[in-house]
Amino acid sequence: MSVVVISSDSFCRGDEIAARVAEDLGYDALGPEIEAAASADFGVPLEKLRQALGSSLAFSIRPSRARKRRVTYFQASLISALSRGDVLYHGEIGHMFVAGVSHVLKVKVTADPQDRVARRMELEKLPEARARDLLLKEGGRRQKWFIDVLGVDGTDASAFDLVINLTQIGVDSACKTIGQTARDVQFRPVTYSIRTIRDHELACRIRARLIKDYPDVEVTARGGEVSIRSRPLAKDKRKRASSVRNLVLGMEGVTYVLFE
Amino acid sequence: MADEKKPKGDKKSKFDDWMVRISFAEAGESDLGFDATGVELKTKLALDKVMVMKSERVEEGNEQVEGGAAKAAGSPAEDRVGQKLRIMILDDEPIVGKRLAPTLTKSGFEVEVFLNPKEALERMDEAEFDIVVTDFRMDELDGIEVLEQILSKCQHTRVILITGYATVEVAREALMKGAFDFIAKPFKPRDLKAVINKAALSLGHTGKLD
Repeated sequence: MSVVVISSDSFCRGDEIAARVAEDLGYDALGPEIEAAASADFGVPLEKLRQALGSSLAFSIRPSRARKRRVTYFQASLISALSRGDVLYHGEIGHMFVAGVSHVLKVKVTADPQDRVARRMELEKLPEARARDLLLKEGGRRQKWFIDVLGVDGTDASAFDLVINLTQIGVDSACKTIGQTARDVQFRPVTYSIRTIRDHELACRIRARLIKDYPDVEVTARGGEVSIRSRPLAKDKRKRASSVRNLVLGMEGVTYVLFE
Repeated sequence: MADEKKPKGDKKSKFDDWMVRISFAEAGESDLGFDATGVELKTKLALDKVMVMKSERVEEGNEQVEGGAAKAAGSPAEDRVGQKLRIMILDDEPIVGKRLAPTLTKSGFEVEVFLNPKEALERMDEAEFDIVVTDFRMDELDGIEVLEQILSKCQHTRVILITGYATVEVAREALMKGAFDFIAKPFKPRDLKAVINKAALSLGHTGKLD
């Protein structure tokens, strides 16, 4: 009944581990499907979405409203999928969006640099220096992405419940450890955690709906009661505030809207 | 062109087992009580279903072994088949017991309210409670200590922690120490009632709950 979110460094066999753990637990395994769902749900070309998320080679470093918007779309699709439960998500950034939910097990999988270099050399037929250089550059860009977009240190181990170094532990033991931990009683959903993720899902869904017109919009939800905050609006947009309120009131799960 | 479309509707959550669904299905209910007939109806239907399941289990057991025991035999609820389920509410804020007790009593539970954790634990020495609803943050003993002491006295008792200071860490600690559920304040009485019903079912309770 819990949710598992695995974040792996590149060339750490994260895909393989995620698939095996999901099979062991009987959970749906999700990864790039979330990006595809966000692309379809919000009408954003997949490649542009992947650039905004840093999943693409054409990494978007320059801050922009479009990037913020696309990250919001991804977040809404991710939380929607995770709120259904019995799900394992594997991706680089997912753990940052579920920090306050007690039944989500957040796992980091990494490996010693030499192992990652060796794996990249093998998979991409690259010389060692090139493989090492690419890993370093991509790692640096990902760190910058975390700071620029989410304002956090993406390498902070305290963001995870479990950190596994595959060089020391091995894939079989890693899968076993993650599966056992996910079954631990403290990751059982409780009323508090279910409500937290549902409130989060509703807030993300509304924010994604409004962010194009209100780029600075902040949304919180609590049991269907929604609070929407935005910076002072221009006159024309102020006029539209009441229509926005009605729009949000018409969304599933919303019982009350406070528009500030 | 617009960069967005209307999001797709939510798919049904796998968390929505039929009891939890009672907690969240009704929108717009007042905090003041259990007036919503939909909730009452769903609760009753759910309990009817469990009573049927329970009677089937007992019949199966009787077929296999004469005088066979049901799954939750030995629990306080099982020992008092047909009696009301006994609930203790422990919160140092009087308003909590004051509001919950009438609602739960009306729903068919036998309710005792305590403001002081030590007095509550002394009462646990005298009488068995099927379900304890306790605040987490209290002056003399915190909810985790109360939880531990209750379970050391009666391992069948279902302990539900409620708190206005909910965190991931506290929720996980409560579960590790044996809590049945963990609820953040503020909550609606119907939310707590749904959890209490779930706890009652987990005890194999066969009594009538309205």
